[in-house]
Amino acid sequence: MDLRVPSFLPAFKTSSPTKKEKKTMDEIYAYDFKRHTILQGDVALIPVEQVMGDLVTLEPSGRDLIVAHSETGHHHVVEAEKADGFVDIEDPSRLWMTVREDTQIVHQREEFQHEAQIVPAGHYLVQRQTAPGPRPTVWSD
Amino acid sequence: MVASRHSYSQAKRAALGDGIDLTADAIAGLWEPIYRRSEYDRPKVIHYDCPDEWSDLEIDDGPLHINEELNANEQSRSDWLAHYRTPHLNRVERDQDVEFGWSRNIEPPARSEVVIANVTGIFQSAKNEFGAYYNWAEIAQLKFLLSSRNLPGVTSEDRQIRQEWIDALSSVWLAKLDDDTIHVLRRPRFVNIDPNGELHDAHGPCLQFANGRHLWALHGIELPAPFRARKDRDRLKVAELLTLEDQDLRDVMCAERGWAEIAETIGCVLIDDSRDPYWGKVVDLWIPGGTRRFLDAMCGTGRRILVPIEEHISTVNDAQESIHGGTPFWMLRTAPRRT
Repeated sequence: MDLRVPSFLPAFKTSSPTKKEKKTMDEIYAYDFKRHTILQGDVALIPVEQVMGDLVTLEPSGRDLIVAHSETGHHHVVEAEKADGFVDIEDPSRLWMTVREDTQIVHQREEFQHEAQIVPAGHYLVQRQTAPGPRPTVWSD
Repeated sequence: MVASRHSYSQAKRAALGDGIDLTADAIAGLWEPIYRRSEYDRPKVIHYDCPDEWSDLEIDDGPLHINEELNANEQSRSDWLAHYRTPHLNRVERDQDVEFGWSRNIEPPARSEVVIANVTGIFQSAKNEFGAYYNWAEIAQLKFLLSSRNLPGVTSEDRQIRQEWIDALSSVWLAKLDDDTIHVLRRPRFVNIDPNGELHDAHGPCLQFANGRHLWALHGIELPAPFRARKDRDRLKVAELLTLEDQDLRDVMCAERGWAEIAETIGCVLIDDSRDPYWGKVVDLWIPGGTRRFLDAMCGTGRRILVPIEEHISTVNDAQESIHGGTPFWMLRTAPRRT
């Protein structure tokens, strides 16, 4: 029985991007210069001109769209009715978001809460902080 | 005292030696030789609660139990399938903790609710498909499997048999083929993993097999008995943490404590300074066993955070790119502030 991963499946990244990969990421992201990046805690919302990839819609959690999960329940969320989230099947660590009308990104924590920020309408790439390792480790506070 | 690393996939693979993961490959591999037969023979099945290879784990509810009820020759195929669909095998015997809900095991939803692509927090729904837990590669394979149901050339009868296999295997965690026998390992009562698929629970066991055997681990590093309780770990002084013999164990416990506290206690060496506390500095910590490099920055709440970075990174800009998955630093710099 052949248990190898079929060759037509995508390769999965197991380390930080190389310099060559970084260069291509500039092009891939198609940064939207009309807006600015939003940094809240360990989450970065990168404004992009369009979402891309083999995407599937993210189910909201009640009235919230969770853009960054936290082990302790201190999620970073936006209003689900104003935004759609998408996961790239080829890289589930990468989340894309389309904000239909201006909303806020809120950190659901009472102590050491990261201040809420306005998120203007548009497309975003949601990037979590990671730490190096055999597999990138999501870094959260 | 040497800890061992158990990633989720490694744990599964270690559990039954050369056993087969319930990935799409495995399911397809199990299914294919069967459907090619002229008659669909019912295989014998031996059911395990806990793998022998992990027999040194602590036992709460008695010894390893091998359930051979499915091995009875007179059992019909429909009974066999019905057994695997029995709800009790899918029930998770642990209360859902709302506060930690995303990583705690929850009762799997009805199959109609399963949406494999809904990968919130990476594993939110991946663990629901087939009632098991999957890593990224497995998710993609499962996606392929599910999407291939309607491939041209696959007859309706093939699809039916294939679906039966998928359904039959939906209640097991691991399967191992042995000629005409299938060894299956029941789903654990609960499994907790971190967003990277490592076995993890800071407040209790991260894995409990059906017979009550427990495993404690912190981000994939098995915790020895003295460090299983959070209060015991919090009680350790920095010097005690740093002198732990096992470096993997030391690192996860230092990360849990916060590398900033370690740096404040033993000091650090400055490598690069952006002169912006929120953009940060690159520093080295000299700890037993070698030097570790960190991005030392202020988070939006005013706390000092040290994030591990790779040793070859020597500038703050590169460090910021690295911890943001390779996002070019100028994109991050457009942010007016970090909250």
